[in-house]
Amino acid sequence: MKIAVMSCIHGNYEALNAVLLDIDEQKAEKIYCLGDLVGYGPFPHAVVEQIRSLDIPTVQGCWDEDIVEGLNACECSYPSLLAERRGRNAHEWTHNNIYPETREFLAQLPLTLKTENLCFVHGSPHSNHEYLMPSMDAFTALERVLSAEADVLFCGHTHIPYLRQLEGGQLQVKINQPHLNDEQNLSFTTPLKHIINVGSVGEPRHGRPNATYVIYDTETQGATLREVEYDYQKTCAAIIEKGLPPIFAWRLARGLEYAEKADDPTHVCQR
Amino acid sequence: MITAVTGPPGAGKTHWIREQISKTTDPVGYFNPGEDSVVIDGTCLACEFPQVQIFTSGEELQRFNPEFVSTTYIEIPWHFDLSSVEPLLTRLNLKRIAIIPSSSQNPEWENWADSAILGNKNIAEPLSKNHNYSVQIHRNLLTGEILDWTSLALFWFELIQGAYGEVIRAKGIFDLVSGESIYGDYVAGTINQEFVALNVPLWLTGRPERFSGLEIVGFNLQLKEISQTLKDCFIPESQIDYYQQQIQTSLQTEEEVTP
Repeated sequence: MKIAVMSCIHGNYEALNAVLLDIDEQKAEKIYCLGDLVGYGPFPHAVVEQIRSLDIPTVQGCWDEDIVEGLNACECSYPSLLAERRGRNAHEWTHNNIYPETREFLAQLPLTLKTENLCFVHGSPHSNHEYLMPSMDAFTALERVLSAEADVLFCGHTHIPYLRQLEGGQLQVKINQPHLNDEQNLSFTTPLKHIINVGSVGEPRHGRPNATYVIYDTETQGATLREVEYDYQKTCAAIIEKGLPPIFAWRLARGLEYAEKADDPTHVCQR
Repeated sequence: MITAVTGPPGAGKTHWIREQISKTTDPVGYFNPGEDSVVIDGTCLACEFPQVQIFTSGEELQRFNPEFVSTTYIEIPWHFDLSSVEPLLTRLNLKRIAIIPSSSQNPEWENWADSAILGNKNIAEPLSKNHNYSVQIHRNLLTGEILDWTSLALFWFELIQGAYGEVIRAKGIFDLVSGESIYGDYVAGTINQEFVALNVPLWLTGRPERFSGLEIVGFNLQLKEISQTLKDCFIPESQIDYYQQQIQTSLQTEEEVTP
């Protein structure tokens, strides 16, 4: 069965519709969404309505959570004062423009979805604020997939798509505790695991404005990264028209994020 | 000897003056009638060469006296009408130098000069052309403000990439929370240097009482956005003391562990 997995739409309705059309052309039988429906972009309500009307299984992203619970990520989420002020501007705008029913929908989204050996999260199985970067050391990456009790872990949040294969191997763990005389030796074999980051529909950071998502074939286990062109100028015009900072439009048109990511992207906020 | 230097923006006027000053340890005067209160080039020269004295508008006539300094450089900005400064230049009986790129399409500077020197030949075409009224010069006096480095780097990237209008020349001196004063320089069409720290003491006690500022030349500049984004890079008053104490503690620790 072909499934489509997308993430990080960020209120970009034009990009979402272009991706949905492309998914239709790819004849995917099921769509999953990894959250961050809102934040930064000009159409948070329309995006949520579209996702809801199509009954797309969706997990809660960090921006969805912040809109529900209030912005309380610690300062170190931002690499600079400028990025922090922009993030706060975007949060305030979204907070003021979102409908109550949209907020209610975001509030009830689960943090994790599972179907058979596939797991869907926004950031990582531990937190929707954690970045699973492609450079993360293999042991930690493997731990994240094992903790999800899945063979394939789908994530977003970094806005950079990638496919990572964690080869099966023999792991040995030595435990030495003060109250135990003998050292404990544990060993176990790990099967082949995959992490698939599906990129971002509405806020790419790969140097082009195009939306990205992934088609996954559950039978062949093949993943295809799709890059979809759309009329990003419409979104840029709406950003300015609706009173969001014009710099968001400039950055979107160049495939840059609205605000820079933290220096230490693996950092998880201590809330 | 007094030397007047002019040429298009980014051609290397200040660079040429700097090369001349570096050959002497005698007192040297420097006057740039276009810098007003935003004295970026003069501050850089004075930081690098202690023998440089900066003349400000209004005092130039008495300071051009050889009793004070035997050598003076007058840097005439590219946007000045040369005929308007001609009465002053005639009275001073000086040498005239034009720094021009190879692509210069404006013979006015060459005709005006006693000698023309080839400067930065890679500057973008708009810099070497005759400029009309649509060119804007925007200056921000930033003295007393302390900027967050990563915010400044982000703003600078966006600025020179055209987020706030077409920028053909930008230069600035900025005080950072680390106590450093740094200089940034952008000339469209050329490979631009990283920010460099000026040779001045670290300022770690309150707001810096020394010059900092920004000058931008370009077209369709979004001045309101530029000013607001710069403000968003400022360290808030309430946090200045906290950061400066942290830097001071860190420096003291370094001194203690260094034998």
